[in-house]
Formats: sequence, C-alpha cells, structure tokens
Amino acid sequence: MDNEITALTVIFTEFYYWVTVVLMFLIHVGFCVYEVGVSRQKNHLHTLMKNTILIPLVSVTFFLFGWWIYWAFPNGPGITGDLVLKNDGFGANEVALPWGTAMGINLGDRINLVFWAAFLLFSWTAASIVSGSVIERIRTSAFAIVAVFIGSIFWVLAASWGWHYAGWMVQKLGYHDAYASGVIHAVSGGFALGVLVVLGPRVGKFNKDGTVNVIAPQNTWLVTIGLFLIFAGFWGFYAACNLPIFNIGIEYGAKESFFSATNIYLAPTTLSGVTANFIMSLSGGMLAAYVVSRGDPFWTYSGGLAGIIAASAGNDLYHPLQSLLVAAGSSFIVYKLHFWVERKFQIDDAVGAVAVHGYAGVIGLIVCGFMLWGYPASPFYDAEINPLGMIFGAIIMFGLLGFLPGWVTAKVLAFFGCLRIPANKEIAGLDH
Amino acid sequence: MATINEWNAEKLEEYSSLYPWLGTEIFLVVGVIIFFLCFCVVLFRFDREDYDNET
Repeated sequence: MDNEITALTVIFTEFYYWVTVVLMFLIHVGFCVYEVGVSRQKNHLHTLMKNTILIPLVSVTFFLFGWWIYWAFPNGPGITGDLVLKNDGFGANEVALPWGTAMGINLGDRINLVFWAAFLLFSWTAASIVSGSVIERIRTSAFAIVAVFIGSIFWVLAASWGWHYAGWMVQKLGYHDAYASGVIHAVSGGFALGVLVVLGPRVGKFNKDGTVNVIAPQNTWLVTIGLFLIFAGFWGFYAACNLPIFNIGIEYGAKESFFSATNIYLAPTTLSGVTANFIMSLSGGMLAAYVVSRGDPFWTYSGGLAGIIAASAGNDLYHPLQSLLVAAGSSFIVYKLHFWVERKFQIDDAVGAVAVHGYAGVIGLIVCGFMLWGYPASPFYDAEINPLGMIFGAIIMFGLLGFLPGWVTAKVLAFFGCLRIPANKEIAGLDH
Repeated sequence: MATINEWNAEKLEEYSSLYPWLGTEIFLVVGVIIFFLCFCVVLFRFDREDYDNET
C-alpha cells in the first residue's frame, strides 16, 4: 500500500469484514439459545452441544476444503469452463489452498482471511439451519456429518455457482441472489427436509390416525432472545454480503475511478437502501405472521425472519415498500405451507426451519425473477435476471444442492444405523 | 419492470434510482397503507374476540 487512498480502502475493507464476523457470531448464539428454548427440558444439553460442536467441525473443514470449493467451482465445472485453479490471483490454488501462503498472515493480502471468516460464518448458519429442524432425535455423530456436508460442501458449491461474480448460474441463467435467499437459506432448508424425510418425526409427534400433537416451544423467552440475537446478527450477515468500497469505474473498464459499495456480483448498491430494505422486510414479515398465526410469538418472530429471507434475493435493488410487500406475502405463504406439509407428509420440523429458510428462500427467488426482470445479472457478463432462470435457480438450490444431498446423506447414515437415537433413549431424554 | 438494463462504465455518475417500477411509488404507498390498515382491523378483531366475547 503506497498511498493513502489505497491504504484507507484496504484497511477499511479489512476492518469492515472483521466487524461483520463479530456481528454474525450473534447468529450462532441466537441459534443455540433458540433451539434450547424449543427443545424439551430433558434434551436441553444435547440440543445445545449438538449445535455448539458444529462451530469447530465446520471451521476446520471450511479451512481445509470449503474455501477452496468456492473459488474452484464457479464454472460448474464443465458448464462455462474448467475448475478455476489459477486465475490472475483469484484461483482456488492461489487463495484457498490450506497450505498456501494466502491462508496465513500475509502483508501482501489483507482481505483473504477475513473474507474467509465471513464466509465461514455463513457456513455455520447453513449448518445451524439444519440443526434446529432435527433436534431431540438425531445422533450428535450423525449431525456432525450432516453439518460438514451442508456447511463446508453443499452451500459452498451453491455459492460458487450462484453467488460468485463469475458463477455459471449468473452467466447462463441470469441468477440473482444478493443476500442469499437461495444459496444459504433454500439450500439449507432443502437439505433439512431431505434429512427429515429419512429421520422421521419425534416420538409422540403424530398419532396413529395421522393427527398432529403440538410440541410447543418449551421456553418462549429463550426463543424470543434467540431470535432477536439472530436478527441482530443478520445485520452483520447483510453487511458481509457487500463489498463496502470498490472502484467499479476502473473494474468496468472506464478511464475514471468511481467508488461504490457493491453486492457480491460487484454491481453497485447502497448500504443505506439495503438497511431500509432489511428493516421493512422484517416488518412486513412480522405483520403478516402475527395475523396468520394469531399473535403466536414463535411464528411472529419466525415470520419476520422468513420475510427478510424472502426479500433477500432482491434487497440490493428493491424499494423498501416492495421489500415489505414481498416479505409479508411470503411470510403468510410460508406459515400455511409449513402446517400443510406437516399434516400431509408427517414431517416433524421442530423449529420450522424448512419453511422459514427453505420455502421462504424459494419464494424469494421466484418473486425476484419477476420483480427484477430485465436487470443485468452481472456487470461483466451479458445475462439478464429473468423468471425462468430464477425458477431453475430455485430448483437447483432447494432440490439439487439441498434436498437430494440431504436425503442421500441421511439414507447412508440410516443404513449403517448411525442416524437416529433409539426410541427408548429418546423417550427417557437425551441428557440422561 | 427494470429501471436499468446494463451497467455502462462511462455513465456510472448518471445512475440514480435503481429500484424496479420507477414511477409507481404512489401505488406502492397506497398498497402498503391498505395492508397496514387491514392489519389494524384484524388486530382489533382479535382483541374483540379474545376479550369482549369472554364476558
């Protein structure tokens, strides 16, 4: 760094991502508190430790291969090119090999590891989303495998395809997913559903005639605190999805510099507008969820989260009032869909994660395809956002990278008798 | 309805509003007011059903 502008830009960016990591840590605190609040007293410790242990598991594996996957797979491979191993300083072998010099303190690169850390916190979130839905009957060892698969492989692959400035889905489908409706939430929700189909419901959740027994959240206050912590951490999540300052003028090929915050695709946006969209989508989601759940605290908070998640795909461009309406409509549908799936298919999603993350993410992607129809999907490639591409994108995220791997993983674990805790132990409680 | 169709490197200074359906803000405002009023009506109805019918 040989001049003040460069130094300010680099140090500010480095510090900016560092702050997002600290904020996003609150998401995980929130998930832990929230899941314990939902679980029954006999399962509190098991629930807590299952979610806690994913922190080191996903961190180590994301360092060893998760980060490498993100940089290596934007072309598919085989769709728009080969594995990206070397690419002018941004290939997988240049920035993400665990034994490479870029993966240690390096005065020549002040951003890579703090950017890695921001992505890692997304990975924790992806695994935590699955964690909540499977509480009170999955073995910790099985969940460890599930967490690594979703946290360090499948969501990262989704990000490489659709959340990378050169991802093949961006280039070929016009995929747009600014704040990860699809690449984190739909993928994780789909993965959770795949696991749940194999894992089965908690003992006592369904009667023999198919009717549902409500196992309500056991501690509303923990759930409340947990979800507010998730909301707080979500600010960091949103911030981490942006580049805070970037010279898009030079990058786009102009002669003059033009600095702006950008989304993950390096297209300009404003943190100011994004902040308003975040708040308005939270508000829309909560209002609709309050009505549809008749003031149920669990679903009012969850509806707020679902609202943000649904609006997230286009929240870099929406008007705040558009965000509110998208969130409200999605939150309403998500609530109805959760209980319909629960009754129809006897899926026991203990925290509603498949609905709040998976269905909301899918709805958000599809709505985004219509709302942002005609916008450029990337400043660097000739692709425009369109409904069909976004619907395909939603199928890829929820189905191909979410549900299918989740189902296969759970099937293999079940085949070896490693997935589910025996019924007598489940009834006695997992903390005994 | 897209407000922009490309990112023109030479015209970055000229871009301003980016949100879709530019020019329809008033309809959005009306829509949100209707939504908000509907919420308030439902809220009153909930309270009436919860408290007034019990007596």
